[in-house]
Amino acid sequence: MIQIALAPCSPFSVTTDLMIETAALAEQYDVRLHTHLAETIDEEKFCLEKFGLRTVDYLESVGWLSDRTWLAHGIHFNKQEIEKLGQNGVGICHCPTSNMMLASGICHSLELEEAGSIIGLGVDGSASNDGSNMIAELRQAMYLQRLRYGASKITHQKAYDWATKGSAALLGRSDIGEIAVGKQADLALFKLDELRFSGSHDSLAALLLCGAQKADRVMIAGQWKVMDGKIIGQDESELISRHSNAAKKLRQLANA
Amino acid sequence: MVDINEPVIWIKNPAAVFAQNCEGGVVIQGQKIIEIVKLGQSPKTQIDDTYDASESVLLPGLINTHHHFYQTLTRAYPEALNKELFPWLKSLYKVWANIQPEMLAVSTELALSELLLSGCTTASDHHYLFPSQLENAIDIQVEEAQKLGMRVVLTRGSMSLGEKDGGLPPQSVVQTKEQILG
Repeated sequence: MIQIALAPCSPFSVTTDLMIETAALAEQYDVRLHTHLAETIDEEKFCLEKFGLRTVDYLESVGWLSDRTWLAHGIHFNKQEIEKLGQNGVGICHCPTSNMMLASGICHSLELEEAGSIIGLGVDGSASNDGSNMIAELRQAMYLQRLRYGASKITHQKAYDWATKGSAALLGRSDIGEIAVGKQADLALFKLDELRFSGSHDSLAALLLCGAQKADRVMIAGQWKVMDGKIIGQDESELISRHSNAAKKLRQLANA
Repeated sequence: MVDINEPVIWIKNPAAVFAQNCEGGVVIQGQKIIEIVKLGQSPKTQIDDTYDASESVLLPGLINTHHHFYQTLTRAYPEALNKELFPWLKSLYKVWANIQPEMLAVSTELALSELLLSGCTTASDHHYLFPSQLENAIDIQVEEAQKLGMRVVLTRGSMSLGEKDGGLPPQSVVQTKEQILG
């Protein structure tokens, strides 16, 4: 249930030797590598000024061009860089809401896939989303990617694929991300009984097109965790109260 | 391995499903899917319990592969509004430097809860913030994930290139390489 990976933050906040030694450690312990890369043009400029390299060349120079690596965002790549990432099996986590919120850019998802990279999804944030709603993120991915590739290439099935099989592969997992015999019983069930779904015809498409927000039931490893839209055993308002108090206290500490 | 003493559950006839040849639903035993059922058919396995999914769209649990759970504490933060990445980060690093262990715990619980309620069953968190009071951040996150029973990929993140060495984050949120790898 718990997997660990190594994830220096980004080129602009991590030293070169730490990047190199982290890659070696990941090899030694056979764990995956994760970092932010090519999220913004500012970052590209930083890499050129500080290291004299573009982001992908920098990644290569620290030994990270590997199928052990998945990158968050992966927006600002040229054609050669996309080829290089694909050939080396580097995966990309597309974070559409965050990319829109911070005006970072649009990931070249299909070109990366054609080159050989796996694409998965992430909500990112939560301060740059600012929500943590996974089903809503599929809709965002579908629509943002349509701006780049058109509606016929970016289908709702494509968004589902990214958030399930694609994301599982980014994490190096073959036991999750698919409904098939032998896989873990991790399931999400959504009801179409809200105003927003009324009048819809294709239920699978409706979930994304009409903007589903909440699962009715969720099962993890064969156990129901959510029933009737509530986490079993959780007092949601008590959690909100504890969390919002912590957020207020943090602001007080920061302004002290 | 599937324990043959575990009850067999048929999640029956979903309204729609994102899987091939699975219109009749799925059969679960223990932690695993043991059978998928084609349109109009019944399971070959003997069933102990049935869940009528005829009003539900059935998906594989969604998998979130990038997040920072602690940031739920600084949503819509006044000083960070309407900014792009670098100025946005610079507004928030100094706030995040004050996060206490109990704040990380409750933010992890909240983010995981929100994800779970939106159909997410596996979540990866990129935690790279280890000011002195948060050195056991990953242990805190493990505990919260276990309480909720969510599948997680927790990443030991890091920041070592502070402002004084030409990096973006202030020194209060960076560690030395030795602290990070040790």
